[in-house]
Amino acid sequence: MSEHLPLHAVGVSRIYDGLAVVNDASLTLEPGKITALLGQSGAGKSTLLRLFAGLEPVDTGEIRLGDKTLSSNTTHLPAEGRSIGLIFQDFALFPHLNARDNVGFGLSQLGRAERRKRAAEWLERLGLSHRSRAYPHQLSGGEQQRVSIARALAANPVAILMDEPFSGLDVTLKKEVRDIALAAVSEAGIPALLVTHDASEAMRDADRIAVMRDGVILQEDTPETLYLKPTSLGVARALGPLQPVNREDLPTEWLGQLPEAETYCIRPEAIRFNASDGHPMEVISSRRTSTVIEVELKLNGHAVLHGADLGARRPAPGETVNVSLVPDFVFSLPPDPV
Amino acid sequence: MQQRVAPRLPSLRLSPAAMTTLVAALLIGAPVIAALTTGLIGGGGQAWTHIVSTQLAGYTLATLGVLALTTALVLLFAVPSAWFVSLFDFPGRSIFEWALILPLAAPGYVLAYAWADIMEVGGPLQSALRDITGLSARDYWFPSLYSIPGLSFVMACALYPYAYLTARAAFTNLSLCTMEAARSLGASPFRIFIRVALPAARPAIFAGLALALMETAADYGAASYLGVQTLSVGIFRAWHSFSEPAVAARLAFLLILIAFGLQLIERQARGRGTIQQTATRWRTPKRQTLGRRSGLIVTVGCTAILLLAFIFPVSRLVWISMETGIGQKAMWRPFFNSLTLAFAGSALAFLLAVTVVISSRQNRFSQIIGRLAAGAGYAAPGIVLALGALFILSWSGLSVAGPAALVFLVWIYASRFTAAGAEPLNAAFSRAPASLGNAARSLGANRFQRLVRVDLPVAMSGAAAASIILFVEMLKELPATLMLRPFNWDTLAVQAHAYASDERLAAATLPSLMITAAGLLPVILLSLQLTRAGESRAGG
Repeated sequence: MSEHLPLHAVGVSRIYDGLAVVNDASLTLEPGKITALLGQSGAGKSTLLRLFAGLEPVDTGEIRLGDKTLSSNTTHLPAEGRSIGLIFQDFALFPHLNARDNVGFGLSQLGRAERRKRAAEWLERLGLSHRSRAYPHQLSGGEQQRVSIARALAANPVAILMDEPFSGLDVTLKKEVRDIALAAVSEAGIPALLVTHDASEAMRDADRIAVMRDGVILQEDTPETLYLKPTSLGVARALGPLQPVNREDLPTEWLGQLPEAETYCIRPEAIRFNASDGHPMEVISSRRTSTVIEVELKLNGHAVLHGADLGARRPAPGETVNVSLVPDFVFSLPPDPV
Repeated sequence: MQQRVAPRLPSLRLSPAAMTTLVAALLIGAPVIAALTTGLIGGGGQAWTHIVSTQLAGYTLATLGVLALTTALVLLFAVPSAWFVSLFDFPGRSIFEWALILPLAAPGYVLAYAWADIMEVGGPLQSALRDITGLSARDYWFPSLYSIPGLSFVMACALYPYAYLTARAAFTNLSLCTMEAARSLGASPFRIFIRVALPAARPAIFAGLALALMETAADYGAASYLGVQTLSVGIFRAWHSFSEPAVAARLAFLLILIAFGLQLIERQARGRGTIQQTATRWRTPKRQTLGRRSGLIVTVGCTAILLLAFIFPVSRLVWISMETGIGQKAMWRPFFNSLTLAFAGSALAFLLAVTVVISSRQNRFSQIIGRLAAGAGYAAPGIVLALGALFILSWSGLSVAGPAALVFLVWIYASRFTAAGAEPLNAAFSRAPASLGNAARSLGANRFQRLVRVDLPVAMSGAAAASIILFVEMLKELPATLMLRPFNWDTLAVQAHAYASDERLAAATLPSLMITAAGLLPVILLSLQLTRAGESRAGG
């Protein structure tokens, strides 16, 4: 797999009507790794994907495959010349072609027999050999997405870009399709980009995550590092819920574990309320979600502290529990630039 | 963070797609432009002043009167029938579902000949009345078809299926959840119809109604036969009887204003309609079985519409034609001519429609130009386009009598009906996801390969419907053919009109029936196809 090259975006910008939708973004997609691009809608994720794909030219910066420049403000290799596979949320299967011919679409340089053989192989890898004659409208959503992944991979792309590929699918189908699809993508050993707005999907499926907001990449690292060591409030928020708490509201015995700051951002899992020793607090409300118990605790008489912990017994409202703090999930981060 | 950066001016590049659209648009739009410019800058003078002082108000009022009455009648025929057919079960529903579209096969002028004969003093209706009552013809009043209400009735009979089709589609697409929500809030079926279904379907109904009214405004055959002095009739007379083409062009200008206004309504209504349909997931409502009495009333109502708009007039023509013996002598040539023209016109219109639809997906410029041209051609009545073509013929020094006129006629057909063909092609595209082109690009397909391997095949799924619609429309076309055909080169429509105008109705029946019969098969096919599409959607 060593012949696969990384795909780089180097300081790229894309401007619509005077507004920088992608602003000086740099990102490297390593071969054999899935990089998630995480952000809310309107963050510029899909536009950055389109710049990688060559569907749009860059206004500044460069898109490079290895050392070869694909886009800059002087050159632009169009999408059809890049051999970069695309997976869409709406599957984008050709309605006039059956599954096999959809997969064979990108193999026009091969003879008919060879093309069909390759298409059949790819359908089999994605568990769809029995559906090869079916037309898109006869396939379920999950099957359609698997065909579209087979189609992209069969063409032997140098990289693959997936734009919210699983968000159109039923929850029950999602896991199965995702497991099959991402295994096939990883196996191909090429750089892969997964655009998503779902933090848990990005954390679970990607080797690296780039968090994007308002056209800017805020931070790019492994899921673990991003979650535990975010460099900005924006990144910390993008990966999970946070609550701001003033230093003076916290119990004094906790302060020794924390760096000096006026306010802290605390993730719910930093609060352990099943501790044998700790600071006693009154439970305002509690409820069980599937795996964790979420509680609201009275803090310093007036503030509310949210916590989430595992446990068999749900503390009742009004009850006093011993609460301890896990400092790994507490951040003192500079506020976001406006 | 988003930063403001100095905007770059969009560069106007004439890509091959834009150039192709431009050529297609010129082909489609030239006759309208020719007629409009002549109307604006040419003409005037004494003849125009005379028309303005004597005829203009009459032409305009008659046209507007016919449009107003036709609106009422079309809504009356189309909306309740579509409502019951799409959401209720009653005796004969499955037949009415497709049969109510049948009147599309018969052009307005054919219905006018038939109804005029049915309603005349010696016709079957009045004879029966006299037989039953024992009165003589002088003793009673009987409505005359040779009037604005008469013409409106005939046009509504011929054209209500446009509104019926769009209304039916809208009612079938109504969200079951919305209706169930209304029911849970205590709304009666009538209230649901008025407060929920009708407002939701209104854009679609308006779109269909506007199409019907555009055809009504463009009609020449029925109006001239029934002696109603509409603008179309005025244009033809100014050109034919008074030999004042420039005056005709000025009148045409007025007619185009009306037609464009109607088209604007249709566009806007359609735009609003699409927003509603894509809003949420819906389940097609299951049809509710009507009670015995109400079922019977609805069946009688639908039967009445079908009898008035199709069965009575067509069987009357068949009766006359059998009674007088079919005069087959000179029918072959016009039949052949009609087919040739309709084939050639459909082919050219189809080619233009494919060009406009596909290139309009390439860039915004092509989209605007293509739509504008196709819309202008479709909104402009045939009589106006023919006038434009005549101006172009005379500017280019070609003979109106020669074969050039035939080429021009094919051109006019294409110019007029490209939009009708583009519609189903566009629909085929809109069903396909927008990302198809990008998917093909990512798989290495260049612009040409995308055209051949993706765009054309996707568009072709709408091709059958498009070509059927084009062919039938061209077969029925009268005024442009009347004005442009070379001398002695008749089509079925021209021959029917000529015989009927000469009070030789018996001779006019055969060509009329042939047009209707030729139109019938494609209309049935189309109707079955639409019905099946509705059923499969309901099933899925």
